[in-house]
Amino acid sequence: MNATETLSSMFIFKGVNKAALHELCIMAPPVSFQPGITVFSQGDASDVALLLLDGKLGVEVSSAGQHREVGQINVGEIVGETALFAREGKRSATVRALQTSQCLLINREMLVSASRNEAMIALERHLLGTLTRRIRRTNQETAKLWKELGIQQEANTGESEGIVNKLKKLFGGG
Amino acid sequence: MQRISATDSDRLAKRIVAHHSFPGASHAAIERVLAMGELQSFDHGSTLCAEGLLGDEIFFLVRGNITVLRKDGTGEDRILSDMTCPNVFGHMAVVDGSRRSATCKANGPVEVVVLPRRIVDRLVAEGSIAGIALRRLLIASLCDQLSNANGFVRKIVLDHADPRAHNPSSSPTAGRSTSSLSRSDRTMNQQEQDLRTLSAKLGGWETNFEGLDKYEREIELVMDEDQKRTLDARRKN
Repeated sequence: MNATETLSSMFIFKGVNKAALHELCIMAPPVSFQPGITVFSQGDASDVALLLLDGKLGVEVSSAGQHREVGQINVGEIVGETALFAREGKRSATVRALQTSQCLLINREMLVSASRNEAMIALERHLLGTLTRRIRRTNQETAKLWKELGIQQEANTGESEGIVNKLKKLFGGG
Repeated sequence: MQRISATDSDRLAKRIVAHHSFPGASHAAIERVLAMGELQSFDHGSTLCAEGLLGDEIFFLVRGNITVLRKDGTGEDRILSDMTCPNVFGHMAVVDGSRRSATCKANGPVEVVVLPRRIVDRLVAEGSIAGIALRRLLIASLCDQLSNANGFVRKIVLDHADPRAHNPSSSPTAGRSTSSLSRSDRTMNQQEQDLRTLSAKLGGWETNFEGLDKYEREIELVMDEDQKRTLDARRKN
């Protein structure tokens, strides 16, 4: 199956004409990543996003030497979009290929040249929904972490009051 | 139906373009979007959107200050963050049809351009310059929110790794009700800012303390004289 056919079979491009999909594939030729390859590294500057056509990617964030898996990118999902739309094009997470993965590379130039392309519009609409879901999921993760840490902190008698207990005051309970 | 004035539209579009940086963020395109909405004024204390209700419109803050609140475990409203021009808010509920996750109240007189769902839905599906601008403005705003939210996950992991990373001195405003919370944001210490930003993230709302600081110079370029005087007064306080 070529890239255009792959795109046309994806839910996000349902109803988009093949000419628009073909144009997108010409502008954004597919690239492949072998398992274990680091696709993006947290903190790196970049201006491209990836649309995953095949395979699976893993996302992790690091802070002060601590690593935490925060999710996986499945077929049809976009990753790295912040580099295209946010002021600072720094990677907020590290992305690795978990399986052999094929992706479309989307850059800022494409956003200019293909802004009226039907497939690009479908992609951006999909991104709106994806980002909203990710924010809600991250908020849930944050609340979960807060609760977990709160329970642990309660066990640490004699520790400072800390941000967790202050949040409890703000929101009431744990 | 009242529309935004040409002067205010020009000023707001400039500030939105200065705040965000994405292909399609042209001044003219943003002005076209603003021209499709209705200008609405709210008195101090008015509720623009209420936590738990369905949301059918997005808001462009033209003038004034919005306080974002969320009910805590006891049912009391707690302040999550403040918003000023050029914030766009209310879009997550319109994008995914979910209920509002917080309440937005006017803190002083407020003017907003209200864009109803039917126009938002139409524009985000279009290839017109207004459609491109709105779609990408909403994406950029969501990217900012997600970036901040991810930063919090990292910060919590960091705090967990070293609980002494935070200054143990107590926050002067944590736990206060809305009536007593200090509004001198510029004088808040780092811990207080962290606390309020994290609170904002838990509610799914973008907080703009960092954003405002980061882009202050650009924002000042498009501020009118009244706004500059207000900012100077806040700094002195």
